[in-house]
Amino acid sequence: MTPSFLVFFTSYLGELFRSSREDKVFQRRDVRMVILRQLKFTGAQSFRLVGIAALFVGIMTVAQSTAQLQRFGGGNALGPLLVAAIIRELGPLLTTLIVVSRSVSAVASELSSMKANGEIELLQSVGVSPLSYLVLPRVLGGAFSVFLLCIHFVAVALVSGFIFGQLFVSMPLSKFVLDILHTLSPIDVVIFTLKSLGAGFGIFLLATFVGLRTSGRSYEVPQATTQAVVYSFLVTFAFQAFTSLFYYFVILDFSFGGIGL
Amino acid sequence: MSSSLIFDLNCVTLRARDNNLRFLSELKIAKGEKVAIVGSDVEYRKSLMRVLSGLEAPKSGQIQVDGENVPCREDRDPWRDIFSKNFRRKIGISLQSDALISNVSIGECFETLFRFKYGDHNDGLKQGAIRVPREVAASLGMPLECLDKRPAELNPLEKRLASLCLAFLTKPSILMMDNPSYSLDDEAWSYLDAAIAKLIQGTQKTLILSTADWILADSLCDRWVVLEDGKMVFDGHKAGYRKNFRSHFVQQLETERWKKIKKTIKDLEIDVA
Repeated sequence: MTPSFLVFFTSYLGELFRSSREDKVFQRRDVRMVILRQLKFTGAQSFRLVGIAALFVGIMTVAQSTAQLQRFGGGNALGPLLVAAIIRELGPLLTTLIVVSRSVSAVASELSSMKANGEIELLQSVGVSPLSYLVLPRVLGGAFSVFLLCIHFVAVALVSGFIFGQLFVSMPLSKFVLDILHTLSPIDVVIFTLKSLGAGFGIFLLATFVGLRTSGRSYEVPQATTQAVVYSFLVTFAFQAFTSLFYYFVILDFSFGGIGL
Repeated sequence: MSSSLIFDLNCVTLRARDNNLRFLSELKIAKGEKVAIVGSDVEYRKSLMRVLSGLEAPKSGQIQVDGENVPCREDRDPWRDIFSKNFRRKIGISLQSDALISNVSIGECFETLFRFKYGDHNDGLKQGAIRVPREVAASLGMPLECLDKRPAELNPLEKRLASLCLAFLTKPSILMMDNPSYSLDDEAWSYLDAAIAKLIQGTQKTLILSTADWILADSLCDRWVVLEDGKMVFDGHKAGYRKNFRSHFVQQLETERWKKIKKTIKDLEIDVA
Protein backbone atom coordinates (compact mmCIF):
# COMPACT_ATOMS: atom_id res chain seq x y z
CA MET A 1 0.00 0.00 0.00
CA THR A 2 1.59 3.23 -1.19
CA PRO A 3 0.85 6.72 0.20
CA SER A 4 -1.15 7.52 -2.95
CA PHE A 5 -3.24 4.40 -2.32
CA LEU A 6 -4.06 5.68 1.16
CA VAL A 7 -4.82 9.19 -0.11
CA PHE A 8 -7.23 7.83 -2.73
CA PHE A 9 -8.74 5.45 -0.21
CA THR A 10 -9.42 8.34 2.17
CA SER A 11 -11.05 10.37 -0.60
CA TYR A 12 -13.04 7.27 -1.53
CA LEU A 13 -14.42 6.97 2.00
CA GLY A 14 -15.35 10.65 2.05
CA GLU A 15 -17.11 10.42 -1.29
CA LEU A 16 -18.90 7.24 -0.26
CA PHE A 17 -20.26 8.99 2.79
CA ARG A 18 -21.25 12.09 0.79
CA SER A 19 -22.96 10.27 -2.06
CA SER A 20 -24.87 7.93 0.22
CA ARG A 21 -26.18 10.89 2.17
CA GLU A 22 -27.08 12.87 -0.97
CA ASP A 23 -28.77 9.94 -2.68
CA LYS A 24 -30.71 8.96 0.46
CA VAL A 25 -29.77 5.38 -0.26
CA PHE A 26 -31.74 3.77 2.53
CA GLN A 27 -35.00 5.07 1.09
CA ARG A 28 -34.34 3.29 -2.20
CA ARG A 29 -35.81 -0.12 -2.82
CA ASP A 30 -33.09 -1.03 -5.33
CA VAL A 31 -30.37 -0.42 -2.76
CA ARG A 32 -32.20 -2.47 -0.15
CA MET A 33 -32.49 -5.29 -2.68
CA VAL A 34 -28.73 -5.22 -3.35
CA ILE A 35 -28.07 -5.32 0.42
CA LEU A 36 -30.33 -8.38 0.72
CA ARG A 37 -28.59 -10.06 -2.22
CA GLN A 38 -25.22 -9.44 -0.59
CA LEU A 39 -26.50 -10.83 2.71
CA LYS A 40 -27.64 -13.92 0.86
CA PHE A 41 -24.38 -14.36 -1.03
CA THR A 42 -21.93 -13.57 1.77
CA GLY A 43 -24.00 -14.62 4.76
CA ALA A 44 -26.50 -17.34 3.92
CA GLN A 45 -24.41 -19.14 1.31
CA SER A 46 -21.36 -19.24 3.62
CA PHE A 47 -23.38 -20.46 6.59
CA ARG A 48 -22.55 -24.15 6.14
CA LEU A 49 -18.90 -23.55 5.30
CA VAL A 50 -18.38 -21.40 8.39
CA GLY A 51 -20.26 -23.98 10.49
CA ILE A 52 -18.00 -26.83 9.36
CA ALA A 53 -14.88 -24.75 9.98
CA ALA A 54 -16.18 -23.81 13.45
CA LEU A 55 -16.90 -27.45 14.27
CA PHE A 56 -13.28 -28.41 13.69
CA VAL A 57 -11.89 -25.28 15.33
CA GLY A 58 -13.97 -26.06 18.45
CA ILE A 59 -12.56 -29.61 18.53
CA MET A 60 -8.99 -28.42 17.98
CA THR A 61 -9.24 -25.74 20.66
CA VAL A 62 -10.64 -28.19 23.20
CA ALA A 63 -8.11 -30.90 22.37
CA GLN A 64 -5.23 -28.46 22.73
CA SER A 65 -6.61 -26.67 25.79
CA THR A 66 -7.53 -29.75 27.84
CA ALA A 67 -4.14 -31.32 27.16
CA GLN A 68 -2.37 -28.19 28.44
CA LEU A 69 -4.79 -27.50 31.28
CA GLN A 70 -4.56 -31.04 32.67
CA ARG A 71 -0.78 -30.74 32.75
CA PHE A 72 -1.12 -27.69 34.98
CA GLY A 73 -4.13 -28.93 36.92
CA GLY A 74 -6.54 -26.42 35.48
CA GLY A 75 -9.18 -28.77 34.11
CA ASN A 76 -12.00 -26.54 35.30
CA ALA A 77 -10.83 -23.58 33.24
CA LEU A 78 -12.09 -24.97 29.95
CA GLY A 79 -15.06 -22.60 29.70
CA PRO A 80 -13.05 -19.41 30.30
CA LEU A 81 -10.37 -20.62 27.93
CA LEU A 82 -12.90 -21.18 25.16
CA VAL A 83 -14.26 -17.67 25.71
CA ALA A 84 -10.76 -16.22 25.46
CA ALA A 85 -9.72 -18.29 22.46
CA ILE A 86 -12.90 -18.52 20.42
CA ILE A 87 -15.01 -15.47 21.23
CA ARG A 88 -12.20 -12.97 21.57
CA GLU A 89 -9.77 -14.21 18.97
CA LEU A 90 -10.44 -17.15 16.68
CA GLY A 91 -14.11 -16.51 15.91
CA PRO A 92 -13.77 -13.07 14.34
CA LEU A 93 -10.37 -13.84 12.79
CA LEU A 94 -11.21 -17.13 11.07
CA THR A 95 -14.67 -16.04 9.97
CA THR A 96 -13.22 -12.93 8.37
CA LEU A 97 -10.57 -15.00 6.60
CA ILE A 98 -13.23 -17.35 5.21
CA VAL A 99 -15.25 -14.37 3.97
CA VAL A 100 -12.13 -12.82 2.42
CA SER A 101 -11.44 -16.00 0.45
CA ARG A 102 -15.00 -16.42 -0.67
CA SER A 103 -16.72 -13.04 -0.97
CA VAL A 104 -14.07 -10.34 -1.07
CA SER A 105 -12.48 -11.92 -4.12
CA ALA A 106 -15.92 -12.16 -5.75
CA VAL A 107 -16.80 -8.52 -5.05
CA ALA A 108 -13.44 -7.23 -6.31
CA SER A 109 -13.63 -9.26 -9.51
CA GLU A 110 -17.27 -8.34 -10.07
CA LEU A 111 -16.61 -4.61 -9.79
CA SER A 112 -13.45 -4.68 -11.87
CA SER A 113 -15.29 -6.69 -14.56
CA MET A 114 -18.11 -4.15 -14.50
CA LYS A 115 -15.52 -1.44 -14.99
CA ALA A 116 -13.91 -3.33 -17.87
CA ASN A 117 -17.34 -3.85 -19.50
CA GLY A 118 -18.18 -0.15 -19.23
CA GLU A 119 -21.01 -0.73 -16.74
CA ILE A 120 -19.56 1.73 -14.23
CA GLU A 121 -19.37 4.40 -16.95
CA LEU A 122 -22.94 3.59 -17.88
CA LEU A 123 -24.09 4.34 -14.34
CA GLN A 124 -22.06 7.54 -14.24
CA SER A 125 -23.39 8.62 -17.61
CA VAL A 126 -26.99 8.46 -16.39
CA GLY A 127 -26.10 10.27 -13.16
CA VAL A 128 -26.26 7.25 -10.87
CA SER A 129 -23.41 7.16 -8.39
CA PRO A 130 -21.72 3.74 -8.47
CA LEU A 131 -20.80 4.34 -4.84
CA SER A 132 -24.43 4.59 -3.79
CA TYR A 133 -25.78 1.86 -6.01
CA LEU A 134 -22.94 -0.69 -6.05
CA VAL A 135 -20.50 -0.02 -3.24
CA LEU A 136 -22.52 0.93 -0.19
CA PRO A 137 -24.98 -1.99 -0.37
CA ARG A 138 -22.11 -4.44 -0.79
CA VAL A 139 -20.18 -2.97 2.12
CA LEU A 140 -23.20 -2.91 4.43
CA GLY A 141 -24.45 -6.35 3.40
CA GLY A 142 -20.96 -7.81 3.60
CA ALA A 143 -20.09 -6.32 7.00
CA PHE A 144 -23.37 -7.38 8.56
CA SER A 145 -22.89 -10.88 7.11
CA VAL A 146 -19.45 -11.11 8.73
CA PHE A 147 -20.99 -10.15 12.07
CA LEU A 148 -23.74 -12.78 11.79
CA LEU A 149 -21.28 -15.43 10.61
CA CYS A 150 -19.01 -14.68 13.57
CA ILE A 151 -21.90 -15.32 15.95
CA HIS A 152 -22.65 -18.54 14.08
CA PHE A 153 -18.99 -19.56 14.22
CA VAL A 154 -18.72 -18.95 17.95
CA ALA A 155 -21.93 -20.83 18.71
CA VAL A 156 -20.93 -23.90 16.68
CA ALA A 157 -17.35 -23.88 18.01
CA LEU A 158 -18.52 -23.68 21.64
CA VAL A 159 -21.06 -26.48 21.18
CA SER A 160 -18.60 -28.74 19.37
CA GLY A 161 -15.94 -27.88 21.95
CA PHE A 162 -18.24 -28.84 24.80
CA ILE A 163 -19.28 -32.14 23.18
CA PHE A 164 -15.72 -33.10 22.29
CA GLY A 165 -14.47 -31.93 25.70
CA GLN A 166 -16.62 -34.57 27.39
CA LEU A 167 -14.09 -37.13 26.15
CA PHE A 168 -11.39 -35.56 28.33
CA VAL A 169 -13.10 -33.74 31.17
CA SER A 170 -16.48 -34.66 32.53
CA MET A 171 -18.30 -31.39 32.91
CA PRO A 172 -22.07 -30.83 33.18
CA LEU A 173 -23.58 -28.56 30.54
CA SER A 174 -24.92 -26.18 33.16
CA LYS A 175 -21.42 -25.64 34.60
CA PHE A 176 -19.96 -25.12 31.12
CA VAL A 177 -22.61 -22.53 30.26
CA LEU A 178 -22.32 -20.79 33.62
CA ASP A 179 -18.52 -20.69 33.32
CA ILE A 180 -18.79 -19.07 29.93
CA LEU A 181 -21.42 -16.57 31.04
CA HIS A 182 -19.39 -15.77 34.13
CA THR A 183 -16.25 -15.15 32.08
CA LEU A 184 -18.01 -13.22 29.35
CA SER A 185 -18.10 -9.54 30.24
CA PRO A 186 -19.94 -6.75 28.42
CA ILE A 187 -16.59 -5.52 27.15
CA ASP A 188 -16.08 -8.93 25.47
CA VAL A 189 -19.33 -8.40 23.59
CA VAL A 190 -18.20 -4.93 22.56
CA ILE A 191 -14.80 -6.18 21.42
CA PHE A 192 -16.38 -9.09 19.55
CA THR A 193 -18.79 -6.73 17.78
CA LEU A 194 -16.00 -4.30 16.99
CA LYS A 195 -13.74 -7.02 15.64
CA SER A 196 -16.35 -8.65 13.45
CA LEU A 197 -18.11 -5.54 12.15
CA GLY A 198 -14.89 -3.53 11.86
CA ALA A 199 -13.14 -6.27 9.92
CA GLY A 200 -16.26 -6.72 7.76
CA PHE A 201 -16.39 -3.05 6.86
CA GLY A 202 -12.65 -2.94 6.27
CA ILE A 203 -12.42 -5.89 3.91
CA PHE A 204 -15.45 -4.93 1.83
CA LEU A 205 -14.37 -1.30 1.57
CA LEU A 206 -10.99 -2.51 0.34
CA ALA A 207 -12.52 -4.96 -2.10
CA THR A 208 -14.80 -2.34 -3.65
CA PHE A 209 -12.04 0.25 -3.74
CA VAL A 210 -9.54 -2.06 -5.43
CA GLY A 211 -12.21 -3.28 -7.87
CA LEU A 212 -13.21 0.23 -8.92
CA ARG A 213 -9.68 1.60 -9.01
CA THR A 214 -8.73 -0.39 -12.10
CA SER A 215 -8.44 1.55 -15.32
CA GLY A 216 -10.99 -0.64 -17.10
CA ARG A 217 -8.81 -3.11 -18.94
CA SER A 218 -9.83 -6.75 -18.78
CA TYR A 219 -6.38 -8.04 -17.83
CA GLU A 220 -6.64 -6.02 -14.62
CA VAL A 221 -9.55 -8.12 -13.32
CA PRO A 222 -7.45 -11.00 -11.91
CA GLN A 223 -4.85 -8.50 -10.67
CA ALA A 224 -7.49 -6.57 -8.77
CA THR A 225 -8.92 -9.77 -7.32
CA THR A 226 -5.56 -10.94 -6.01
CA GLN A 227 -4.72 -7.49 -4.70
CA ALA A 228 -8.03 -7.23 -2.85
CA VAL A 229 -7.52 -10.62 -1.21
CA VAL A 230 -3.93 -9.92 -0.18
CA TYR A 231 -4.75 -6.48 1.23
CA SER A 232 -7.78 -7.86 3.04
CA PHE A 233 -5.72 -10.61 4.67
CA LEU A 234 -3.16 -8.08 5.86
CA VAL A 235 -5.79 -5.66 7.10
CA THR A 236 -7.64 -8.45 8.89
CA PHE A 237 -4.55 -9.66 10.75
CA ALA A 238 -3.47 -6.14 11.63
CA PHE A 239 -6.93 -5.07 12.76
CA GLN A 240 -7.46 -8.16 14.92
CA ALA A 241 -4.00 -7.81 16.46
CA PHE A 242 -4.40 -4.13 17.31
CA THR A 243 -7.89 -4.67 18.70
CA SER A 244 -6.55 -7.45 20.94
CA LEU A 245 -3.69 -5.25 22.09
CA PHE A 246 -6.13 -2.45 22.78
CA TYR A 247 -8.31 -4.84 24.77
CA TYR A 248 -5.56 -6.39 26.89
CA PHE A 249 -3.34 -3.37 27.44
CA VAL A 250 -5.72 -0.44 27.50
CA ILE A 251 -9.05 -1.79 28.70
CA LEU A 252 -7.57 -4.37 31.07
CA ASP A 253 -5.20 -1.80 32.53
CA PHE A 254 -1.86 -2.70 30.95
CA SER A 255 -1.43 -6.00 32.71
CA PHE A 256 -2.19 -9.65 32.18
CA GLY A 257 -3.60 -9.86 35.69
CA GLY A 258 -7.13 -9.23 34.56
CA ILE A 259 -7.34 -11.34 31.45
CA GLY A 260 -9.99 -13.42 33.05
CA LEU A 261 -8.49 -16.87 32.73
CA MET B 1 -25.39 33.89 -28.38
CA SER B 2 -23.54 33.20 -25.16
CA SER B 3 -26.74 32.50 -23.22
CA SER B 4 -27.65 29.73 -25.65
CA LEU B 5 -24.27 28.05 -25.29
CA ILE B 6 -24.28 24.62 -23.72
CA PHE B 7 -20.58 23.86 -23.96
CA ASP B 8 -17.86 26.49 -24.00
CA LEU B 9 -14.33 25.05 -23.95
CA ASN B 10 -11.30 27.31 -23.96
CA CYS B 11 -7.61 26.32 -24.01
CA VAL B 12 -8.38 22.82 -22.82
CA THR B 13 -5.73 20.14 -22.52
CA LEU B 14 -6.99 16.59 -22.70
CA ARG B 15 -5.15 13.48 -21.68
CA ALA B 16 -5.99 10.76 -24.16
CA ARG B 17 -5.83 7.05 -23.40
CA ASP B 18 -2.62 6.75 -25.40
CA ASN B 19 -1.20 9.07 -22.68
CA ASN B 20 -0.50 11.86 -25.16
CA LEU B 21 -1.92 15.29 -24.55
CA ARG B 22 -4.23 17.04 -26.99
CA PHE B 23 -4.77 20.78 -26.96
CA LEU B 24 -8.10 22.28 -27.91
CA SER B 25 -8.08 26.06 -28.26
CA GLU B 26 -11.82 26.63 -28.52
CA LEU B 27 -15.06 24.75 -28.95
CA LYS B 28 -18.50 26.22 -28.49
CA ILE B 29 -21.71 24.26 -28.88
CA ALA B 30 -25.04 26.03 -28.76
CA LYS B 31 -28.49 24.69 -27.92
CA GLY B 32 -30.16 22.81 -30.77
CA GLU B 33 -26.96 22.29 -32.78
CA LYS B 34 -26.25 18.97 -34.42
CA VAL B 35 -22.50 18.52 -34.18
CA ALA B 36 -20.44 15.63 -35.48
CA ILE B 37 -16.95 15.08 -34.09
CA VAL B 38 -15.18 13.22 -36.86
CA GLY B 39 -11.68 12.60 -38.11
CA SER B 40 -8.92 10.07 -37.99
CA ASP B 41 -7.61 10.90 -34.50
CA VAL B 42 -9.64 8.33 -32.58
CA GLU B 43 -8.04 9.03 -29.18
CA TYR B 44 -8.69 12.75 -29.51
CA ARG B 45 -12.32 12.12 -30.40
CA LYS B 46 -12.76 9.71 -27.53
CA SER B 47 -11.17 11.92 -24.90
CA LEU B 48 -13.10 14.98 -26.08
CA MET B 49 -16.33 12.99 -25.96
CA ARG B 50 -15.53 11.74 -22.45
CA VAL B 51 -14.97 15.31 -21.28
CA LEU B 52 -18.16 16.56 -22.95
CA SER B 53 -20.15 13.77 -21.33
CA GLY B 54 -18.65 14.50 -17.90
CA LEU B 55 -17.01 11.10 -17.52
CA GLU B 56 -13.57 12.61 -17.26
CA ALA B 57 -12.09 15.93 -16.18
CA PRO B 58 -9.63 17.57 -18.55
CA LYS B 59 -6.06 18.17 -17.44
CA SER B 60 -6.35 21.93 -17.66
CA GLY B 61 -8.32 24.72 -19.28
CA GLN B 62 -11.67 26.41 -18.91
CA ILE B 63 -14.94 24.64 -19.42
CA GLN B 64 -18.37 26.12 -18.99
CA VAL B 65 -21.33 23.81 -19.15
CA ASP B 66 -24.72 25.46 -19.35
CA GLY B 67 -23.13 28.65 -17.97
CA GLU B 68 -21.44 26.93 -15.02
CA ASN B 69 -17.73 26.30 -14.63
CA VAL B 70 -16.70 22.70 -14.22
CA PRO B 71 -13.49 21.63 -12.46
CA CYS B 72 -10.50 20.97 -14.67
CA ARG B 73 -8.04 19.31 -12.33
CA GLU B 74 -6.72 15.95 -13.35
CA ASP B 75 -6.19 14.92 -9.73
CA ARG B 76 -9.74 15.77 -8.71
CA ASP B 77 -11.83 13.25 -6.89
CA PRO B 78 -12.43 10.56 -9.52
CA TRP B 79 -15.61 9.33 -7.86
CA ARG B 80 -17.52 12.58 -8.07
CA ASP B 81 -19.64 13.67 -11.03
CA ILE B 82 -18.16 16.82 -12.53
CA PHE B 83 -21.57 17.91 -13.79
CA SER B 84 -24.31 19.18 -11.55
CA LYS B 85 -27.28 16.88 -11.03
CA ASN B 86 -29.47 19.39 -12.80
CA PHE B 87 -27.33 19.36 -15.94
CA ARG B 88 -26.86 15.60 -15.82
CA ARG B 89 -30.62 15.20 -16.12
CA LYS B 90 -30.60 17.12 -19.39
CA ILE B 91 -28.17 14.83 -21.17
CA GLY B 92 -28.56 11.36 -22.59
CA ILE B 93 -25.45 9.39 -23.48
CA SER B 94 -25.09 6.36 -25.68
CA LEU B 95 -21.68 4.77 -25.18
CA GLN B 96 -19.87 2.86 -27.89
CA SER B 97 -19.33 -0.11 -25.61
CA ASP B 98 -23.13 -0.68 -25.54
CA ALA B 99 -22.66 -1.33 -21.86
CA LEU B 100 -25.77 -2.40 -20.02
CA ILE B 101 -25.96 -3.96 -16.58
CA SER B 102 -25.09 -7.52 -17.48
CA ASN B 103 -26.74 -9.52 -14.72
CA VAL B 104 -30.28 -8.20 -15.19
CA SER B 105 -32.66 -7.99 -18.15
CA ILE B 106 -32.74 -4.85 -20.30
CA GLY B 107 -36.15 -3.91 -18.88
CA GLU B 108 -34.96 -4.30 -15.29
CA CYS B 109 -31.83 -2.30 -16.09
CA PHE B 110 -33.95 0.57 -17.51
CA GLU B 111 -36.38 0.46 -14.60
CA THR B 112 -33.61 0.43 -12.00
CA LEU B 113 -31.76 3.34 -13.57
CA PHE B 114 -34.98 5.30 -14.01
CA ARG B 115 -35.95 4.73 -10.36
CA PHE B 116 -32.48 5.59 -9.18
CA LYS B 117 -32.43 8.79 -11.16
CA TYR B 118 -35.89 10.05 -10.23
CA GLY B 119 -36.66 8.11 -7.04
CA ASP B 120 -39.62 5.85 -6.37
CA HIS B 121 -41.30 7.73 -3.59
CA ASN B 122 -44.71 8.03 -5.26
CA ASP B 123 -46.98 5.92 -7.44
CA GLY B 124 -46.43 8.09 -10.51
CA LEU B 125 -42.69 7.45 -10.45
CA LYS B 126 -43.16 3.75 -9.74
CA GLN B 127 -45.45 3.40 -12.75
CA GLY B 128 -43.24 5.69 -14.82
CA ALA B 129 -40.28 3.38 -14.26
CA ILE B 130 -42.24 0.61 -15.98
CA ARG B 131 -44.07 2.67 -18.61
CA VAL B 132 -41.36 5.05 -19.86
CA PRO B 133 -38.80 2.42 -20.96
CA ARG B 134 -41.50 0.67 -22.98
CA GLU B 135 -42.54 3.92 -24.65
CA VAL B 136 -38.95 4.80 -25.50
CA ALA B 137 -38.26 1.31 -26.84
CA ALA B 138 -41.38 1.49 -29.03
CA SER B 139 -40.45 4.93 -30.35
CA LEU B 140 -37.04 3.62 -31.43
CA GLY B 141 -38.56 0.57 -33.08
CA MET B 142 -36.95 -1.81 -30.61
CA PRO B 143 -38.93 -5.06 -30.22
CA LEU B 144 -40.52 -5.08 -26.77
CA GLU B 145 -39.52 -8.69 -26.14
CA CYS B 146 -35.93 -7.42 -26.00
CA LEU B 147 -36.77 -5.87 -22.65
CA ASP B 148 -37.03 -9.34 -21.16
CA LYS B 149 -33.65 -10.43 -22.47
CA ARG B 150 -30.22 -9.97 -20.95
CA PRO B 151 -27.59 -7.96 -22.86
CA ALA B 152 -25.73 -11.09 -23.93
CA GLU B 153 -28.89 -12.41 -25.65
CA LEU B 154 -29.29 -9.40 -27.97
CA ASN B 155 -27.93 -9.03 -31.49
CA PRO B 156 -25.67 -6.02 -32.27
CA LEU B 157 -28.50 -3.83 -33.57
CA GLU B 158 -30.75 -4.62 -30.61
CA LYS B 159 -27.87 -3.84 -28.27
CA ARG B 160 -27.29 -0.54 -30.00
CA LEU B 161 -30.99 0.30 -29.83
CA ALA B 162 -31.04 -0.62 -26.13
CA SER B 163 -28.10 1.70 -25.58
CA LEU B 164 -29.95 4.45 -27.44
CA CYS B 165 -33.10 3.78 -25.41
CA LEU B 166 -31.06 4.36 -22.31
CA ALA B 167 -29.92 7.69 -23.70
CA PHE B 168 -33.50 8.70 -24.47
CA LEU B 169 -34.90 7.33 -21.22
CA THR B 170 -35.03 10.64 -19.43
CA LYS B 171 -36.14 12.62 -22.49
CA PRO B 172 -32.87 14.56 -22.65
CA SER B 173 -32.46 17.87 -24.44
CA ILE B 174 -28.82 17.05 -25.22
CA LEU B 175 -27.97 13.73 -26.81
CA MET B 176 -24.44 12.39 -27.05
CA MET B 177 -23.57 9.34 -29.06
CA ASP B 178 -20.23 7.66 -29.34
CA ASN B 179 -19.77 5.79 -32.60
CA PRO B 180 -23.36 4.47 -32.81
CA SER B 181 -22.84 2.80 -36.20
CA TYR B 182 -19.77 0.88 -35.06
CA SER B 183 -19.67 -2.71 -36.39
CA LEU B 184 -23.20 -2.69 -37.82
CA ASP B 185 -24.00 -4.22 -41.19
CA ASP B 186 -25.59 -2.09 -43.90
CA GLU B 187 -29.15 -3.03 -43.12
CA ALA B 188 -28.73 -2.42 -39.40
CA TRP B 189 -26.92 0.83 -40.22
CA SER B 190 -29.84 2.06 -42.33
CA TYR B 191 -32.29 1.15 -39.61
CA LEU B 192 -30.30 2.93 -36.93
CA ASP B 193 -29.77 6.02 -39.06
CA ALA B 194 -33.48 6.28 -39.76
CA ALA B 195 -34.38 5.68 -36.11
CA ILE B 196 -32.06 8.39 -34.82
CA ALA B 197 -33.04 10.83 -37.55
CA LYS B 198 -36.70 10.35 -36.71
CA LEU B 199 -36.12 11.22 -33.08
CA ILE B 200 -33.69 14.06 -33.65
CA GLN B 201 -34.59 15.97 -36.76
CA GLY B 202 -37.06 18.77 -36.49
CA THR B 203 -36.59 18.95 -32.73
CA GLN B 204 -34.65 21.41 -30.63
CA LYS B 205 -32.51 18.62 -29.20
CA THR B 206 -28.78 19.14 -29.29
CA LEU B 207 -26.88 16.25 -30.84
CA ILE B 208 -23.19 15.61 -30.30
CA LEU B 209 -22.07 12.66 -32.35
CA SER B 210 -18.57 11.26 -32.22
CA THR B 211 -18.04 8.90 -35.09
CA ALA B 212 -15.63 7.43 -37.57
CA ASP B 213 -18.54 7.10 -39.98
CA TRP B 214 -18.59 10.16 -42.26
CA ILE B 215 -21.78 9.04 -43.91
CA LEU B 216 -23.67 8.97 -40.63
CA ALA B 217 -22.18 12.34 -39.72
CA ASP B 218 -23.38 13.68 -43.07
CA SER B 219 -26.80 12.22 -42.53
CA LEU B 220 -27.42 13.51 -39.00
CA CYS B 221 -25.32 16.62 -38.46
CA ASP B 222 -24.78 19.96 -40.15
CA ARG B 223 -21.74 21.05 -38.22
CA TRP B 224 -18.53 19.09 -38.30
CA VAL B 225 -15.59 19.26 -35.95
CA VAL B 226 -12.74 17.40 -37.62
CA LEU B 227 -9.86 16.14 -35.52
CA GLU B 228 -6.75 14.81 -37.23
CA ASP B 229 -3.23 14.16 -35.94
CA GLY B 230 -3.84 15.86 -32.58
CA LYS B 231 -5.29 19.00 -34.13
CA MET B 232 -8.70 20.40 -34.88
CA VAL B 233 -8.43 20.90 -38.62
CA PHE B 234 -11.98 22.08 -39.28
CA ASP B 235 -14.95 23.44 -37.37
CA GLY B 236 -17.93 24.62 -39.36
CA HIS B 237 -20.73 23.66 -41.71
CA LYS B 238 -20.14 20.36 -43.44
CA ALA B 239 -20.45 21.98 -46.85
CA GLY B 240 -17.31 23.98 -46.12
CA TYR B 241 -15.37 20.84 -45.35
CA ARG B 242 -16.62 19.06 -48.43
CA LYS B 243 -15.63 22.02 -50.54
CA ASN B 244 -12.17 22.53 -49.16
CA PHE B 245 -10.86 19.14 -48.09
CA ARG B 246 -10.19 16.04 -50.12
CA SER B 247 -10.69 13.43 -47.44
CA HIS B 248 -12.04 10.13 -46.24
CA PHE B 249 -15.46 11.62 -46.57
CA VAL B 250 -15.31 11.98 -50.33
CA GLN B 251 -13.80 8.55 -50.71
CA GLN B 252 -16.51 6.97 -48.63
CA LEU B 253 -19.31 8.73 -50.44
CA GLU B 254 -18.05 7.31 -53.67
CA THR B 255 -18.04 3.74 -52.44
CA GLU B 256 -20.55 1.10 -53.27
CA ARG B 257 -21.57 0.93 -49.64
CA TRP B 258 -23.19 4.32 -49.77
CA LYS B 259 -25.14 3.41 -52.87
CA LYS B 260 -26.21 0.16 -51.27
CA ILE B 261 -27.37 1.93 -48.12
CA LYS B 262 -29.42 4.39 -50.14
CA LYS B 263 -31.02 1.49 -51.96
CA THR B 264 -31.71 -0.38 -48.70
CA ILE B 265 -33.45 2.63 -47.23
CA LYS B 266 -35.61 2.94 -50.32
CA ASP B 267 -36.37 -0.78 -50.45
CA LEU B 268 -37.28 -1.16 -46.82
CA GLU B 269 -39.19 2.11 -46.71
CA ILE B 270 -38.13 2.22 -43.12
CA ASP B 271 -40.73 3.64 -40.87
CA VAL B 272 -39.94 3.78 -37.20
CA ALA B 273 -42.95 4.50 -35.08
